[in-house]
Amino acid sequence: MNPPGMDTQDQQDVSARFVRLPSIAERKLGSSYSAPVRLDPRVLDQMQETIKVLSRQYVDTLGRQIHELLPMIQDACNGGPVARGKFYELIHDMRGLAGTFGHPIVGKFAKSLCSYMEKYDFLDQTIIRFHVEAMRDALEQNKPDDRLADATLYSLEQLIDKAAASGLTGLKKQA
Amino acid sequence: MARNVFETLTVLVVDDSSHMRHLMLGLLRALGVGEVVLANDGEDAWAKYILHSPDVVITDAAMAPTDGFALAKRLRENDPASFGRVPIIMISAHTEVSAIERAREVGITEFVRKPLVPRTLYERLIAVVNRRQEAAIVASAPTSAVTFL
Repeated sequence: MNPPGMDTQDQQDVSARFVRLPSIAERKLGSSYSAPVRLDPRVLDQMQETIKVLSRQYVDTLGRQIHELLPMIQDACNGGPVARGKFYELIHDMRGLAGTFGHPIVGKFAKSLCSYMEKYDFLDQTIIRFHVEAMRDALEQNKPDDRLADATLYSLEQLIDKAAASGLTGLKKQA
Repeated sequence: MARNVFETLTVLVVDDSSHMRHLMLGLLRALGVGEVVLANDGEDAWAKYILHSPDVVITDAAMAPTDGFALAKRLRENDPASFGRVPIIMISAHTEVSAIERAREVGITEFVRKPLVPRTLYERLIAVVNRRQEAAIVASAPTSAVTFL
Protein backbone atom coordinates (compact mmCIF):
# COMPACT_ATOMS: atom_id res chain seq x y z
CA MET A 1 0.00 0.00 0.00
CA ASN A 2 1.22 3.47 -0.84
CA PRO A 3 1.92 5.93 1.93
CA PRO A 4 -0.68 8.73 2.10
CA GLY A 5 -0.18 11.37 -0.58
CA MET A 6 1.92 9.16 -2.83
CA ASP A 7 0.44 7.36 -5.80
CA THR A 8 2.02 4.74 -8.03
CA GLN A 9 3.40 7.34 -10.38
CA ASP A 10 5.37 8.98 -7.55
CA GLN A 11 7.15 5.71 -6.86
CA GLN A 12 8.38 5.36 -10.44
CA ASP A 13 12.15 5.68 -10.82
CA VAL A 14 13.01 8.73 -12.85
CA SER A 15 16.58 9.27 -13.87
CA ALA A 16 17.66 12.61 -15.16
CA ARG A 17 20.84 13.88 -16.73
CA PHE A 18 21.94 17.41 -16.02
CA VAL A 19 23.64 19.19 -18.86
CA ARG A 20 25.16 22.62 -19.18
CA LEU A 21 24.27 24.32 -22.43
CA PRO A 22 26.77 26.71 -24.03
CA SER A 23 26.02 30.40 -23.64
CA ILE A 24 24.72 32.39 -26.60
CA ALA A 25 28.18 33.96 -26.97
CA GLU A 26 29.87 30.54 -27.02
CA ARG A 27 27.38 29.27 -29.57
CA LYS A 28 28.06 32.24 -31.82
CA LEU A 29 31.81 32.69 -31.39
CA GLY A 30 33.10 29.38 -30.08
CA SER A 31 34.24 28.21 -26.67
CA SER A 32 37.39 30.34 -26.75
CA TYR A 33 35.27 33.48 -26.56
CA SER A 34 35.96 35.69 -23.57
CA ALA A 35 33.49 38.30 -22.40
CA PRO A 36 34.49 41.97 -22.46
CA VAL A 37 35.62 43.24 -19.09
CA ARG A 38 33.85 46.58 -19.30
CA LEU A 39 31.74 48.79 -21.49
CA ASP A 40 33.88 50.84 -23.87
CA PRO A 41 33.51 54.50 -22.74
CA ARG A 42 33.19 55.59 -26.38
CA VAL A 43 30.18 53.30 -26.78
CA LEU A 44 28.68 54.68 -23.57
CA ASP A 45 29.14 58.23 -24.91
CA GLN A 46 27.38 57.23 -28.10
CA MET A 47 24.50 55.76 -26.09
CA GLN A 48 24.21 58.96 -24.04
CA GLU A 49 24.21 60.98 -27.24
CA THR A 50 21.38 58.82 -28.62
CA ILE A 51 19.31 59.62 -25.53
CA LYS A 52 20.11 63.32 -25.83
CA VAL A 53 19.01 63.48 -29.47
CA LEU A 54 15.77 61.58 -28.86
CA SER A 55 15.03 63.62 -25.72
CA ARG A 56 14.61 66.71 -27.91
CA GLN A 57 11.80 64.94 -29.75
CA TYR A 58 10.27 63.48 -26.61
CA VAL A 59 10.00 66.81 -24.80
CA ASP A 60 7.33 67.96 -27.30
CA THR A 61 5.32 64.79 -26.73
CA LEU A 62 5.64 65.15 -22.97
CA GLY A 63 4.48 68.79 -23.05
CA ARG A 64 1.50 67.84 -25.21
CA GLN A 65 0.55 64.93 -22.94
CA ILE A 66 0.67 67.10 -19.81
CA HIS A 67 -1.45 69.71 -21.58
CA GLU A 68 -3.97 66.98 -22.49
CA LEU A 69 -4.20 65.81 -18.87
CA LEU A 70 -5.63 68.98 -17.32
CA PRO A 71 -9.05 68.87 -19.06
CA MET A 72 -9.25 65.11 -18.44
CA ILE A 73 -9.05 65.36 -14.63
CA GLN A 74 -12.77 65.72 -13.94
CA ASP A 75 -13.70 62.70 -16.05
CA ALA A 76 -10.85 60.67 -14.60
CA CYS A 77 -12.33 61.26 -11.14
CA ASN A 78 -16.03 60.95 -11.92
CA GLY A 79 -16.42 59.61 -15.45
CA GLY A 80 -16.10 55.88 -15.00
CA PRO A 81 -13.39 53.29 -15.66
CA VAL A 82 -12.74 54.13 -19.32
CA ALA A 83 -11.90 57.78 -18.64
CA ARG A 84 -9.91 56.79 -15.59
CA GLY A 85 -8.03 54.14 -17.55
CA LYS A 86 -7.18 56.56 -20.36
CA PHE A 87 -5.87 59.09 -17.84
CA TYR A 88 -3.83 56.43 -16.02
CA GLU A 89 -2.36 55.19 -19.29
CA LEU A 90 -0.98 58.63 -20.09
CA ILE A 91 0.47 59.07 -16.61
CA HIS A 92 1.98 55.59 -16.69
CA ASP A 93 3.60 56.35 -20.02
CA MET A 94 5.21 59.47 -18.52
CA ARG A 95 6.28 57.57 -15.43
CA GLY A 96 8.34 55.24 -17.58
CA LEU A 97 9.64 57.60 -20.22
CA ALA A 98 10.15 61.01 -18.62
CA GLY A 99 13.07 59.87 -16.47
CA THR A 100 14.71 57.97 -19.31
CA PHE A 101 14.60 61.07 -21.52
CA GLY A 102 16.09 63.46 -18.99
CA HIS A 103 13.07 64.63 -16.99
CA PRO A 104 13.38 62.63 -13.76
CA ILE A 105 11.32 65.07 -11.70
CA VAL A 106 8.35 64.83 -14.06
CA GLY A 107 8.80 61.05 -13.81
CA LYS A 108 8.71 61.25 -10.00
CA PHE A 109 5.42 63.18 -9.98
CA ALA A 110 3.97 60.77 -12.52
CA LYS A 111 5.02 57.84 -10.34
CA SER A 112 3.38 59.41 -7.30
CA LEU A 113 0.17 59.98 -9.25
CA CYS A 114 0.21 56.41 -10.62
CA SER A 115 0.59 55.05 -7.08
CA TYR A 116 -2.31 57.21 -5.88
CA MET A 117 -4.56 55.98 -8.69
CA GLU A 118 -3.52 52.36 -8.11
CA LYS A 119 -4.20 52.54 -4.40
CA TYR A 120 -7.48 54.40 -4.12
CA ASP A 121 -10.97 53.91 -5.51
CA PHE A 122 -12.20 57.47 -5.14
CA LEU A 123 -9.99 60.14 -6.61
CA ASP A 124 -9.71 63.69 -5.41
CA GLN A 125 -9.56 66.24 -8.26
CA THR A 126 -7.40 68.65 -6.26
CA ILE A 127 -4.75 66.02 -5.56
CA ILE A 128 -4.63 65.06 -9.21
CA ARG A 129 -4.55 68.65 -10.44
CA PHE A 130 -1.68 69.49 -8.06
CA HIS A 131 0.30 66.55 -9.45
CA VAL A 132 -0.30 67.54 -13.06
CA GLU A 133 0.56 71.18 -12.39
CA ALA A 134 3.75 70.11 -10.63
CA MET A 135 4.67 68.05 -13.72
CA ARG A 136 3.94 71.01 -15.99
CA ASP A 137 6.04 73.36 -13.84
CA ALA A 138 8.93 70.91 -13.68
CA LEU A 139 8.92 70.60 -17.46
CA GLU A 140 8.71 74.34 -18.03
CA GLN A 141 11.64 75.07 -15.72
CA ASN A 142 14.88 74.43 -17.52
CA LYS A 143 16.60 73.02 -14.45
CA PRO A 144 13.96 72.21 -11.84
CA ASP A 145 15.13 72.29 -8.24
CA ASP A 146 15.43 68.74 -6.83
CA ARG A 147 14.84 69.85 -3.23
CA LEU A 148 11.76 71.83 -4.18
CA ALA A 149 10.45 68.83 -6.11
CA ASP A 150 11.01 66.53 -3.13
CA ALA A 151 9.26 69.02 -0.82
CA THR A 152 6.33 69.22 -3.25
CA LEU A 153 6.15 65.43 -3.43
CA TYR A 154 6.15 65.25 0.34
CA SER A 155 3.29 67.78 0.52
CA LEU A 156 1.32 65.79 -2.04
CA GLU A 157 1.78 62.63 0.02
CA GLN A 158 0.56 64.49 3.10
CA LEU A 159 -2.46 65.68 1.15
CA ILE A 160 -3.23 62.10 0.06
CA ASP A 161 -2.88 60.84 3.63
CA LYS A 162 -5.23 63.58 4.89
CA ALA A 163 -7.81 62.77 2.23
CA ALA A 164 -7.58 59.10 3.13
CA ALA A 165 -7.92 59.84 6.85
CA SER A 166 -10.98 62.00 6.30
CA GLY A 167 -12.67 59.26 4.29
CA LEU A 168 -12.65 61.20 1.01
CA THR A 169 -10.96 58.34 -0.70
CA GLY A 170 -11.36 54.57 -0.46
CA LEU A 171 -8.60 51.99 -0.49
CA LYS A 172 -8.85 49.73 -3.50
CA LYS A 173 -9.84 46.17 -2.84
CA GLN A 174 -6.96 43.80 -3.50
CA ALA A 175 -7.60 41.40 -6.40
CA MET B 1 41.01 41.45 -32.70
CA ALA B 2 38.23 39.74 -30.74
CA ARG B 3 34.83 39.97 -32.34
CA ASN B 4 32.09 41.91 -30.59
CA VAL B 5 29.50 39.32 -29.59
CA PHE B 6 26.71 41.86 -30.03
CA GLU B 7 27.41 41.92 -33.78
CA THR B 8 26.23 38.34 -33.97
CA LEU B 9 22.93 38.98 -32.20
CA THR B 10 19.39 39.46 -33.37
CA VAL B 11 17.42 41.29 -30.69
CA LEU B 12 13.64 41.66 -30.71
CA VAL B 13 12.46 44.86 -28.99
CA VAL B 14 8.80 45.04 -27.96
CA ASP B 15 7.34 48.34 -26.78
CA ASP B 16 4.11 50.21 -27.50
CA SER B 17 5.85 53.58 -27.22
CA SER B 18 7.48 54.70 -30.44
CA HIS B 19 9.87 56.88 -28.41
CA MET B 20 11.05 53.85 -26.48
CA ARG B 21 11.38 51.70 -29.61
CA HIS B 22 13.52 54.34 -31.28
CA LEU B 23 15.59 54.74 -28.15
CA MET B 24 16.22 50.99 -27.90
CA LEU B 25 17.11 50.86 -31.59
CA GLY B 26 19.66 53.65 -31.09
CA LEU B 27 21.14 52.14 -27.92
CA LEU B 28 21.43 48.65 -29.35
CA ARG B 29 22.99 49.98 -32.56
CA ALA B 30 25.49 51.91 -30.46
CA LEU B 31 26.37 48.63 -28.75
CA GLY B 32 26.91 47.09 -32.17
CA VAL B 33 23.96 44.68 -32.18
CA GLY B 34 23.77 43.02 -35.59
CA GLU B 35 20.03 43.07 -36.13
CA VAL B 36 17.32 44.86 -34.18
CA VAL B 37 13.72 43.88 -34.88
CA LEU B 38 10.99 46.20 -33.53
CA ALA B 39 7.48 45.20 -32.48
CA ASN B 40 4.76 47.38 -30.98
CA ASP B 41 2.88 44.83 -28.86
CA GLY B 42 2.83 41.19 -27.84
CA GLU B 43 0.95 40.00 -30.92
CA ASP B 44 3.25 41.79 -33.33
CA ALA B 45 6.19 40.45 -31.33
CA TRP B 46 5.02 36.87 -31.62
CA ALA B 47 4.77 37.12 -35.42
CA LYS B 48 8.26 38.67 -35.61
CA TYR B 49 9.66 36.12 -33.17
CA ILE B 50 8.57 33.31 -35.48
CA LEU B 51 10.01 35.10 -38.50
CA HIS B 52 13.37 36.22 -37.10
CA SER B 53 14.18 33.71 -34.30
CA PRO B 54 15.89 36.36 -32.17
CA ASP B 55 18.66 35.52 -29.71
CA VAL B 56 17.28 37.89 -27.08
CA VAL B 57 13.87 39.49 -26.49
CA ILE B 58 13.60 42.85 -24.74
CA THR B 59 10.03 43.71 -23.80
CA ASP B 60 8.00 46.37 -22.07
CA ALA B 61 5.55 45.10 -19.45
CA ALA B 62 2.37 47.14 -19.98
CA MET B 63 1.07 46.90 -23.53
CA ALA B 64 -2.31 46.26 -25.11
CA PRO B 65 -3.80 43.92 -26.22
CA THR B 66 -1.02 41.43 -25.34
CA ASP B 67 1.29 42.61 -22.58
CA GLY B 68 4.87 41.62 -21.85
CA PHE B 69 3.87 38.98 -19.29
CA ALA B 70 1.54 37.20 -21.72
CA LEU B 71 4.20 37.38 -24.41
CA ALA B 72 6.80 35.87 -22.09
CA LYS B 73 4.43 33.06 -21.13
CA ARG B 74 3.82 32.30 -24.79
CA LEU B 75 7.53 32.35 -25.57
CA ARG B 76 8.28 30.03 -22.66
CA GLU B 77 5.68 27.55 -23.86
CA ASN B 78 7.52 27.43 -27.16
CA ASP B 79 11.15 27.41 -26.03
CA PRO B 80 13.29 25.41 -28.46
CA ALA B 81 14.63 22.37 -26.59
CA SER B 82 17.90 22.26 -28.50
CA PHE B 83 19.33 25.68 -27.66
CA GLY B 84 17.80 26.50 -24.31
CA ARG B 85 15.51 29.30 -23.32
CA VAL B 86 15.49 32.56 -25.21
CA PRO B 87 16.53 35.21 -22.68
CA ILE B 88 13.77 37.74 -22.04
CA ILE B 89 14.66 41.11 -20.55
CA MET B 90 11.67 43.02 -19.23
CA ILE B 91 11.90 46.80 -18.93
CA SER B 92 9.19 48.28 -16.76
CA ALA B 93 8.19 51.22 -14.61
CA HIS B 94 6.30 48.75 -12.42
CA THR B 95 8.83 47.86 -9.76
CA GLU B 96 6.50 46.58 -7.06
CA VAL B 97 7.31 43.18 -5.61
CA SER B 98 4.13 41.77 -7.18
CA ALA B 99 5.28 42.77 -10.68
CA ILE B 100 8.72 41.25 -10.14
CA GLU B 101 7.19 38.05 -8.78
CA ARG B 102 4.86 37.86 -11.77
CA ALA B 103 7.82 38.38 -14.08
CA ARG B 104 9.63 35.51 -12.39
CA GLU B 105 6.59 33.26 -12.66
CA VAL B 106 6.29 33.73 -16.41
CA GLY B 107 10.00 33.12 -16.96
CA ILE B 108 11.49 36.58 -17.41
CA THR B 109 15.29 36.30 -17.34
CA GLU B 110 16.15 39.84 -16.28
CA PHE B 111 14.04 42.71 -14.97
CA VAL B 112 15.18 46.28 -15.64
CA ARG B 113 13.45 49.24 -14.09
CA LYS B 114 12.60 52.47 -15.86
CA PRO B 115 14.03 55.07 -16.15
CA LEU B 116 16.39 53.14 -18.38
CA VAL B 117 20.10 53.73 -17.88
CA PRO B 118 22.42 52.77 -20.81
CA ARG B 119 24.97 51.03 -18.61
CA THR B 120 22.26 48.87 -17.05
CA LEU B 121 21.04 47.83 -20.49
CA TYR B 122 24.59 46.82 -21.43
CA GLU B 123 25.13 44.90 -18.19
CA ARG B 124 21.89 42.92 -18.51
CA LEU B 125 22.46 42.18 -22.17
CA ILE B 126 26.03 40.98 -21.70
CA ALA B 127 24.87 38.90 -18.71
CA VAL B 128 22.23 36.99 -20.66
CA VAL B 129 24.54 36.52 -23.64
CA ASN B 130 27.30 35.06 -21.47
CA ARG B 131 25.13 32.97 -19.17
CA ARG B 132 25.21 29.21 -19.51
CA GLN B 133 21.96 27.41 -18.85
CA GLU B 134 21.52 24.17 -17.07
CA ALA B 135 18.94 21.70 -18.25
CA ALA B 136 17.66 18.43 -16.83
CA ILE B 137 16.98 15.77 -19.42
CA VAL B 138 14.63 13.11 -18.11
CA ALA B 139 15.87 9.79 -19.42
CA SER B 140 12.53 8.00 -19.44
CA ALA B 141 10.77 10.74 -21.33
CA PRO B 142 10.94 11.75 -24.99
CA THR B 143 13.77 14.11 -25.92
CA SER B 144 11.45 17.08 -25.81
CA ALA B 145 11.08 16.67 -22.06
CA VAL B 146 13.84 19.05 -21.15
CA THR B 147 13.51 21.24 -18.10
CA PHE B 148 15.64 24.37 -17.97
CA LEU B 149 16.88 25.11 -14.48
